Amino acid sequence: MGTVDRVDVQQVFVLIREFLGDSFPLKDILAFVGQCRGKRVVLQEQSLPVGSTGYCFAFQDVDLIVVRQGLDQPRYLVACLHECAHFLLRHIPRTSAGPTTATFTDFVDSGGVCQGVYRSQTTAYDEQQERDAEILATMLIACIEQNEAEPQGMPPTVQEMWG
Amino acid sequence: MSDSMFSQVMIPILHGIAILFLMYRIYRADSLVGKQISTKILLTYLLLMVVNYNVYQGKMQRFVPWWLYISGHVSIHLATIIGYFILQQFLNNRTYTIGQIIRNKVFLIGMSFSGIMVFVDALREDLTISIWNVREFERSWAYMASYVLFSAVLLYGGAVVITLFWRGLHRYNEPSFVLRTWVNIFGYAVGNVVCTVAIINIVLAFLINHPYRMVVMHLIEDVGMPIILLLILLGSLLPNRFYTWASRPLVIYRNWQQQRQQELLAYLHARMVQIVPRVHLENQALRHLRMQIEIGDAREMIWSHIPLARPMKPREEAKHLWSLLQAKQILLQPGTCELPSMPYEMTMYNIAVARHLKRQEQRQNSPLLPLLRKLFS
Repeated sequence: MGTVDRVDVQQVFVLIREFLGDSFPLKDILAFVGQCRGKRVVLQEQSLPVGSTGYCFAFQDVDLIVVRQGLDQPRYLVACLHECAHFLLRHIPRTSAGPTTATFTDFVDSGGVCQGVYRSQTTAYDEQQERDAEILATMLIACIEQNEAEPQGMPPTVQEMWG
Repeated sequence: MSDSMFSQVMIPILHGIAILFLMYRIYRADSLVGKQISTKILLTYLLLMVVNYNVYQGKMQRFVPWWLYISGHVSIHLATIIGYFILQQFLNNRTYTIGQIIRNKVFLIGMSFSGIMVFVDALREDLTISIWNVREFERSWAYMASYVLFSAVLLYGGAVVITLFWRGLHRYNEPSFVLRTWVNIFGYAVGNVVCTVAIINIVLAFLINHPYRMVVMHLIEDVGMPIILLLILLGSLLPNRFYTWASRPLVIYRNWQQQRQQELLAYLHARMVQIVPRVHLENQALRHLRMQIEIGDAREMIWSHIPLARPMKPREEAKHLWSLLQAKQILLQPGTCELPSMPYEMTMYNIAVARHLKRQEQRQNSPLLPLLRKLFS
């Protein structure tokens, strides 16, 4: 993997909001990642070791994001968004294992294990990339939560009838 | 003014106010939906006028033709059931055609029992004799069955309406709407209590001719009915401006509650990050967003060192956290044990843990503790 200039987290966040708006569902950010990378993004839940909440891996044809099964909603979101942030901040090359990287289908058929980039409490935020990904994920969470928890003040008909 | 006169004046006045107000709303409504809903509500109040008239005639021991007698009972049932469909339009924006209403389960159940009541009334010899008769009343199975069916349909209608309002409370959180909903729920709940008391009263009067029959009837008619009508009117006719003003205490309480919950979460976060510092991302600007995430990450690390057969309760977790804090333990690596799935709403769970932990801390720091130790040592 060649060296890349560190992408500014704030710039990426502003770009995302310009493209997707102030609030959006998780599937929109996944679609955005897919559009940026020119590949489908696949999100899966799996059983992962204690201390790891997710990982990501770039296959030839698909960008895979895996999140640990059974996480509560805020941690599930941050784990997904953390991995999306790695892709958006260009921490992950086009293919994780170089030109010999398999396709996703081949990988699934072979039952292999991939060396992904983990969101882990063991290494936590020791590395700058992990800190940046976590910062971007946290900023994105505010947008996701706004959308999903958009409070319904009162029924529109009541508003219309009684002001 | 006697109790009887009070309700006989009060109820028609309240009805009259409602009808005038609704006619004004229809005239001033900006949209077709507003006009439609106001018209439907007006229809229910017009149906209730029949009932008013019959009740008055009944109390005066005056003759009521059989068709008017039965129409009155069926009208109130119809008004209650129509109220359910009006509420569906209000709360869920669901409109029903007449065909859909007729096929709907609520209509079918309500009006079926109403139909059985009509059939039972047809078997009665004299429709004028009622429980209001001071000396003696018609202690026949037919009369009791008719009365019970009458109250049961109202009970059923009230229950389905309360259910709709209750679901509305979980979907909408605007304080003025919440207050309006509670006023309505209270009105219908009082109605259901009144119906239940009426059923018990008629059954006891029938079985043992208990001496408090008339007292209970007066309470129902002269206290219960005006309260029900007043609450439902207040809940359905007053504008949102009134409820926005009246719900200010609720808004103040909610703001206080949210602030208190944030303080408790911040407290728990600070304590857990003390034990598991690696989960903490130093970023003051995002701190409020990261609290719940870091609490969850820290929890996983802490409990990964202890095998758990079941999810722990807030008090248990607080106790364990307190023991770790007392021992000044810091966890840098996860253990091997998986945390069982937590069947709780996590924000409220975290707040409960924070409360228990705070209590532990306050007990430990209580000035009485050294004195107690000295006394018992």
